[in-house]
Amino acid sequence: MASVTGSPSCYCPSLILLLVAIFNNCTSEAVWKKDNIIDIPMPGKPLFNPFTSSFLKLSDTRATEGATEASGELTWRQAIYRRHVELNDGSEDELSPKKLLSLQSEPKGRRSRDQLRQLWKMAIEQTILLVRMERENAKLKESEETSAVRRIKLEYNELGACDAGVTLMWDSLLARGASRQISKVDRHMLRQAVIQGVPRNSRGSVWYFLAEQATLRSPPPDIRKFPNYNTPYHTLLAGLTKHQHAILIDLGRTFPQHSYFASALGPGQLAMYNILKAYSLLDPDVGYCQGLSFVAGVLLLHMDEAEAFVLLRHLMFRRGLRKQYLPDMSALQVQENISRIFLSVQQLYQLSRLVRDHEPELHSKLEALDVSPALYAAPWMLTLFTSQFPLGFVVRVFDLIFLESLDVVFAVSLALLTAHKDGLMMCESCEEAAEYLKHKMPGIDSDRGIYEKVHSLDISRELADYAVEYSVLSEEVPRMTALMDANARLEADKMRASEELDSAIETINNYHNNQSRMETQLRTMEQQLTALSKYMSSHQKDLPADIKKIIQLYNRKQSFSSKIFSSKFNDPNDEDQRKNPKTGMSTPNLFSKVTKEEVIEAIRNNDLMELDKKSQFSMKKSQSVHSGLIANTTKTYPLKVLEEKTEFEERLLELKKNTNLELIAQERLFEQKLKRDFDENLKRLDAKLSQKLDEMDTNQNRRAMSLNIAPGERADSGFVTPLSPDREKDDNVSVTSHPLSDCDVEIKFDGQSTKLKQIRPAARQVEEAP
Amino acid sequence: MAKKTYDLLFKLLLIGDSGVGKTCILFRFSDNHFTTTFISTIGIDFKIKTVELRGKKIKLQIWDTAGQERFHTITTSYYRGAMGIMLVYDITNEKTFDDIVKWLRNIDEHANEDVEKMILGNKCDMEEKRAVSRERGEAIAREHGIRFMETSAKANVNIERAFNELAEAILDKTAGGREPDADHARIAVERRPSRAQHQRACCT
Repeated sequence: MASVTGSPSCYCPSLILLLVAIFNNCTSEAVWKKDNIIDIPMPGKPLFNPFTSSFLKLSDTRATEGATEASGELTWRQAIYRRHVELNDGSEDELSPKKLLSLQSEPKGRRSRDQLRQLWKMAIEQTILLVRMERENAKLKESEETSAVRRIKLEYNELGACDAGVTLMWDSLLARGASRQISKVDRHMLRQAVIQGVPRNSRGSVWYFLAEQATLRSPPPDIRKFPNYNTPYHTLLAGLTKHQHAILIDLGRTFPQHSYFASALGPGQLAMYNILKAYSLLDPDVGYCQGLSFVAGVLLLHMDEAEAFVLLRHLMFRRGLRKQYLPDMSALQVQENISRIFLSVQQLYQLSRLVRDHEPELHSKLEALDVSPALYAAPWMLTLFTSQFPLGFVVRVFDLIFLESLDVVFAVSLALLTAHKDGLMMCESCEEAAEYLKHKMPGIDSDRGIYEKVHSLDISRELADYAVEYSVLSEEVPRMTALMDANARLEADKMRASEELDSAIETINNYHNNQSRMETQLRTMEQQLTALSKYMSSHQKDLPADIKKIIQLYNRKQSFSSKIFSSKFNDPNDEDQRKNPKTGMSTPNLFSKVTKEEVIEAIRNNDLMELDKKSQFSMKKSQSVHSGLIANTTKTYPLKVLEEKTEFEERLLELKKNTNLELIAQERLFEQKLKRDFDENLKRLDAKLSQKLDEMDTNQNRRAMSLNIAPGERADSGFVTPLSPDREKDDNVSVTSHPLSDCDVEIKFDGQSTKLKQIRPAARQVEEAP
Repeated sequence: MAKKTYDLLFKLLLIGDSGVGKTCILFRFSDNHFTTTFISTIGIDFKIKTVELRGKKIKLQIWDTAGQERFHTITTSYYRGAMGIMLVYDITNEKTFDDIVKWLRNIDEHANEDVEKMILGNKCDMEEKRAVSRERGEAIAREHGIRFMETSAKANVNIERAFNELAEAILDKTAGGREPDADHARIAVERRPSRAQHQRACCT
């Protein structure tokens, strides 16, 4: 530049001006667009760009300086310019430095028109040259920038660099792939190659290559449901997605520390947005799920957008990554509540099982701390370790995923947990363990040990087993719920039944107590009876007619009441049976029937002995029944117990029908035991009862007494006035029975009925009689 | 490593749509600083902060959840143990406010019946972009009988107050007022063994 403007002439200032102007314009970015330069020479097009306007402006200034020369020559400079640009479009290297130098060495002094023209020509030529140079510079700069971006993208610490030999091997492999002769490469060889390492700079191509290899090995995915599967990336980009907001808010939250993605809506974020948007259009079921952005980010760091998109699609569809982002629609049909079951839950289950089988101690430790895989492993699965682990580690995992399958994620998880088992076993609380898993574990230099362990692990079979297990389990869930409901119902039934049993047992106990109370009462009554009998026998002949009436009345009532109970002793004459009751007499129906006719007849015939026996017996019965009645308000115990027993048995049957499996067996055993106990109890009680009654019988029968027309007031009172009995009163009466006072009492009792008044005089008579 | 002792442990849960600022609120409360360089919450995470209320040291275990709907399977399992739930929406985004009803339904389905709730309208520093008026927030809170507050994690508005108020409400409930009762004692007993265990671990 300095050499050009060096010539000291009157035109120099203008030339310098021109060149400076041109230079300034050229350096401004807009001019560097290719289009600007090409547009200028087009005929008929107004020359509006700054480049040409500076020309026009300059020519105007010149015109004022030298009118004669400049007049009418406004166009020749343009002509030179045009001619030159047109010429140069064809032959770029016409302007050689030699020519420029020769021009420069021309003599000074007043210049001719030709010379001026020459100078102008030179100036224009040089300007154009400058423009070209700047353009080249820009190109260089651009390529420098891309390589800088590339450097930025690949800024991570490799886990051990791979040596030159490995790089060469990869280069040859990739060259083979690039030559469009996609053929299967021996898997074992590939594996060895990956284990030895992947050069960082060609990692993107290696992944692409491995993906192609995997595509050759596996059948194509079912894409009938995805009409956009084969739509070109750039076409997809034109579409609009409903996940736009979700994607946008995650752009700033994916690799916020990485310089490529850090700047808001910078190239990195834009590329990520594009790729995620395109994917959400391709796969509407998944759309966008948090975690995907990390996977896309790692891919973007190693290749351009379009390639990254293809690999993302490959991972999702061909490697089964897709299912873990899917909201499970099958669950929707089963239960509304858990409509949004994540299939990644299956992955978490698989991992949990894997840990349990391989590291049982660690598994139980984590369980005890309440640290579930959902807490720590969800980000591992959903971002393929990207969100928490250093990139150097992550890309190695990606190498393996592209080489093998997604099972690698489980293997790595297991290897990580195993490697950090000691640290985790030291944790004392959920917080500590979670902190360790989320921050310490990724922070610790992820050594090659883990990587090697991953290689040695072969867990694909186990994983498949667990997947089946999980699907079976999830199918079982509704059935299990139903079973558990039934179980709970049965438990409740069982509880209720046992409660009923308890109350039944209690009732039996009460009954038992009543028995003993009745026995005591009976004894008292017997004493009374003896006394009365003695009295009666001594006063037999003095019996007034009224008293006989009372006896009649009493006997009628008794016969009526005795009908209530079926009696074994239908035949009052069958003394043997009464005296020697059989063992089979265990039923509670022990009440004999002594008809009033018998009593009356007996009285009439003065068959004292016979009647005494009978009436005594009948009285005894009524007494025992009524003392029971009076002493305890639950007069129907025996019946009730029986009723309950049958009821209980029915329930048992019902339960037996309802229950199943072990529970049933257990329950049945339990019920049987209860039933047995119950029956035994009942039997024992019955036996006791009958025994007592027998004793009573024999007692009664043994006694040969005179006719007792004044039976125990209590017994009678029960029959005539079932409402009146009052325990206290009863007790009092039974205690204060005296042979003499009894008469009075007895009459009083009868008096409680409507006949009291009629009898009362008789009672007085009785009193007066002795 | 000596651990802080505490009298009570409260488990809180932060829920709300994706991007409303749950993690930012939690960061502001636990570390008292606002940062934009954090990643989206994938699944579930938690932070611990111990506060002192009425002379009691209360450890708050605050669970932060992923807002995206399909993470519900993972996050709802944490509803059950929560004693207090903060529902967060973004005052500059109407959709997040409309979804509050949905989140409330989620709570009804999965959380304890007596869980303490609170609605937070976050990002109240961005007044110029406001899309949900304060009145609307207050109205929905009144309708459901829940506390309400507008907050800003960025400008540190109401964050501490919100957590303290929620913790106090839980304290009222747990201790049955100011007097510690059986419930309180039970918690204290529960905690003791773990501390003892820890001390033992320290000695060895």
